Amino acid sequence: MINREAGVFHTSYESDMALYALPLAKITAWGMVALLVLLPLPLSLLQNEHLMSIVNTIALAAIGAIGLNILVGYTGQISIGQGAFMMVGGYTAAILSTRYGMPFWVGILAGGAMSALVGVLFGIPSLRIKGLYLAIATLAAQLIMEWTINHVTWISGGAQSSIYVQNPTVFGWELDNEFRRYYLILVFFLLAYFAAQNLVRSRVGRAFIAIRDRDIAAEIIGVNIFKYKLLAFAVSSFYAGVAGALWTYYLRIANYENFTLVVSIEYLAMIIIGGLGSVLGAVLGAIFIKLFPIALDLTVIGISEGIFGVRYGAVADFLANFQLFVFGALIIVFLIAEPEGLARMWENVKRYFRLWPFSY
Amino acid sequence: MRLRSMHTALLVGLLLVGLAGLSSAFAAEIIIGGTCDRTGPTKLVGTIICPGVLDYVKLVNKKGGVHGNTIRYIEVEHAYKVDRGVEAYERLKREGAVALVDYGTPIVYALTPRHLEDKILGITPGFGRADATDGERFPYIFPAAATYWSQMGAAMQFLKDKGAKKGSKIAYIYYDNPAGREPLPIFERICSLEGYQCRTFAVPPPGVEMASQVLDIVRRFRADWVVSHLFGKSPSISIREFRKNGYRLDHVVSLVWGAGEHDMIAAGWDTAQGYLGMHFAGVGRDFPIVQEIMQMYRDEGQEVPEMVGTVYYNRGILNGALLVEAVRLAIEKYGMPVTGEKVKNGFEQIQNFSLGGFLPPLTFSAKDHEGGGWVRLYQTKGEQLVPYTDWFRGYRDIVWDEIRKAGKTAMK
Amino acid sequence: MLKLNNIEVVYDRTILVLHGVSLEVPKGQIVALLGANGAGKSTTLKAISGVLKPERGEIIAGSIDFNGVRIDHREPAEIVKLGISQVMEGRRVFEHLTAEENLIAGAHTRHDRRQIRQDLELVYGYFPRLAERRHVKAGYLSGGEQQMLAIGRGLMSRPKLMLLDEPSLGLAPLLVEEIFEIVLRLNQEEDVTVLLVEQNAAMALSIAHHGYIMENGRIVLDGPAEVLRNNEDIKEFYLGLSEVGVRKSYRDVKHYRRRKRWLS
Repeated sequence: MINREAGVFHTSYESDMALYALPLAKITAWGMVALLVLLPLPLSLLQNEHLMSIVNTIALAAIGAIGLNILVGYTGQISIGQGAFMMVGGYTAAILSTRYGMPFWVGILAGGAMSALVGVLFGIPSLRIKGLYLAIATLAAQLIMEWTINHVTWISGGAQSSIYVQNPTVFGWELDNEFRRYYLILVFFLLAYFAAQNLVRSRVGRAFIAIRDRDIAAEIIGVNIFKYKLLAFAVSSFYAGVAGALWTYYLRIANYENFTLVVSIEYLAMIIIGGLGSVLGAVLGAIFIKLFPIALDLTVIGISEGIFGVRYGAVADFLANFQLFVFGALIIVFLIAEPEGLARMWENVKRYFRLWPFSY
Repeated sequence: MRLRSMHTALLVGLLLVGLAGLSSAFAAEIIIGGTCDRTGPTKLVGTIICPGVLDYVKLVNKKGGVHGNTIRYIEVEHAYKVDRGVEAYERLKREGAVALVDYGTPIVYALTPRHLEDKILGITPGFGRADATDGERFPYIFPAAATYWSQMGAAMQFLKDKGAKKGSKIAYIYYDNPAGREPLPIFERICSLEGYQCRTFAVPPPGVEMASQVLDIVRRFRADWVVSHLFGKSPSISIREFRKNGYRLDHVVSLVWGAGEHDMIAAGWDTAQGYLGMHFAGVGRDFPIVQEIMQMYRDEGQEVPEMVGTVYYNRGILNGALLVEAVRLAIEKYGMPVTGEKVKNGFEQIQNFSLGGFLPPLTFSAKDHEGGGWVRLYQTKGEQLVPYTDWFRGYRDIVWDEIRKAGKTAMK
Repeated sequence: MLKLNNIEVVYDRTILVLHGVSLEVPKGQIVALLGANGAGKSTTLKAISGVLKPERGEIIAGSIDFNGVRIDHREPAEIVKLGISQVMEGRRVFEHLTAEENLIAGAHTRHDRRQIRQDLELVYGYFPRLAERRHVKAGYLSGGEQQMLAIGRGLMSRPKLMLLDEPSLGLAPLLVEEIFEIVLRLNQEEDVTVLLVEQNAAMALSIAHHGYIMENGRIVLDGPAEVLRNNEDIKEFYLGLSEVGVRKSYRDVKHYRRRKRWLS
């Protein structure tokens, strides 16, 4: 992932297709995993649940973004219904664990499965329409799900349309603080990341990309478009459902207002900024969209109070809007600097170092 | 490459400065926190409520603090987004806040379990769910002002006092979201109890189109009274629609989020004449506490902002005042250092707290975290909201019965 | 007229595609640029017309002069106004416009309506088939008609120099001949200078005055067309002939390949 790739030559198909081009790459990947696993240690020594919570929300968002990228970035089917599919997962998990006493992992997997089912249903229009038209069709998914959850009290559990759940327990450990919740999220994040990495290099992944790049050509070579488009919706919604269920256990409440249209658009923004058609890009995009507003907020407050000695409260309106402005400007700057997203930026850096110091 | 390395440098810089800002917490103060939405969908409300809290706390500190201790109020922006709300909560927790003002219904929902786990008190006036009134189920959550259930009870009491009787036609027009639907059970129970003829009219989000609902209410159903529960842009639109159809606006009673000054401005003051709005804190500047804040501004040589004394600003004062009062009682009864648990116990001992008529006589207990469910109606007259009733409440038995029922069916 | 001086082009800041290409197109001539796939021919044309940017390409060294004006690092629109028009590989007509609208769109940089009208007639004169199908959506035209339309569209900006990128791509031999004849006529009658990129070397060399051979981003050979036609290497590697006019038979293929002379 972050090692130099200069002088890598493949001598067999196996090595060419390997997820990691070099033994070193495998080591760095494991190193990253180890880093992620050990991350709570220093933070818990510092008793910094705050930073942990930021990491948690980013990881949660990354799972959803990877899922959306499989659909939008790899298969080329635009969807602004990500929130709806997360909603389905969230409520499924909440209903199973509160009414039927199921353990959390059943809730999460069932949330994903249910969401995949609903995703396939709303994916049917994609067989006839593409692009912006499909986007509008998925918008309908968003509105229909919101309406359903709002009005079918069997699902929503009453007028408040929200269901509280208990903290998950693993081997008698109640996941009742940010550090423990992190591990739950991390397991699913790693599974999501590596599953997606492998999926897109497989037969199925190539079919997805073929559909995205030239659907007619894909059909000609024997890709069953019907099957694979729906499969893309199913896989993507499964991710969304798992993410939604995890959100539910993380917040201990299933509430449709956590997954509104704004959220759907936010996920689309993540994968566009991160890089369409890149698993790493989805993660980077999630980091960008979730971390930057918070980092900006802390920075602005830090500067205001530390350098100018002005308490945030006195100029809150200005500072709050200023951050928003800077955040918007940052998005534009990054997109101009690299229209294909953060993942491409990373590629470029890597490519630069492949030739370094003898570049052009 | 230069641009790219600049990006990295920028990002690292941002984080470092951010972390520096984070660790500069002071220990010698009592810290209370609040979340706010100044840039999101409810910024019209947030930019007025939040300064109310800040100004009140500032005033308290000016007057020597609480038993000599300064109070530091930290506000964190979340733009009405749930994940930022969680971040804001965790940040405030880390700063050492003992009590929080929570802002925004979805955020209140998401933070409630955390409040209970961390034993940090949260007040949620005007937000959150009515069954959180039950202090035994939600020990660290205080609605701290009349909930939607109490508001509906009070509205129905008002209609009864005004002469509604068996067979009277009452319409309930509401925004079709959880908050809008919440008062429905109370409405239906009272309707069947009193034998009113009742009908409900849902306005689907985003609530900018309600001509047909209003026409139905006025022409077909011919309602004697209307209870209205709308948010955002929709109250002003409803006012205009009722006026257009020739309905008497003094027969429309709006619950607490549909009667702010900006609603009247959006509808037009002339159009809104006679409209009845419900409030859980005083409106206007004729209260000692508001005068004191105005004096504070003048003493600093600043002009008094226009928002001082408006509906939402005064609700901000209520938020600040209740938290400070709870802290005061916590120090008096349990001494320093103040903890979340002490503040909670202090809160539950607040008795007849009214800030000189600015608030209803709020009384809390371990069971009742709402304070009694008092409200007051104000009427739009000229370019002002003038008191129409005194503080009152109604159908407490039905409201409490619903709270008990919710507690029983709640899945723990 | 057009002079490329030691042009180097890098894609993505990492892949060097042109390793110093120099060539010259004299006024009034047809110059052919030949080479295998991936030799850098299209990149050379794109460098001239300034459309490398969307493909993340960049000219990092050398200069391009057009009538004494430096045009490297200029915007494509400016270059068109200076009188260079490129007909891209694979036609790229505007599918949802009619043939006539396509042509009028080609005159985007000009404003004199009467003149445009005249030029339209001129194009129809050269391509009578387009006149017949002027109101048909370009997407419904046949491949050959689309290629004609693309060339016609290129003409509409009144270019002094036309860059033709593989006009024979995917067309039947008869059509190819027809199109090349028209190119030749345009050159002779309208005095349009042409830089022609082709795979079909025999065809290209038959109408060109001068030819350049590219390989791996370099010009390896150049000379007058008839000299190139008779060069043994060209015959072997580009024209598929072992002796002039005699088609190569697999029976005679030697077991070793001829070595390109320019590689030594």
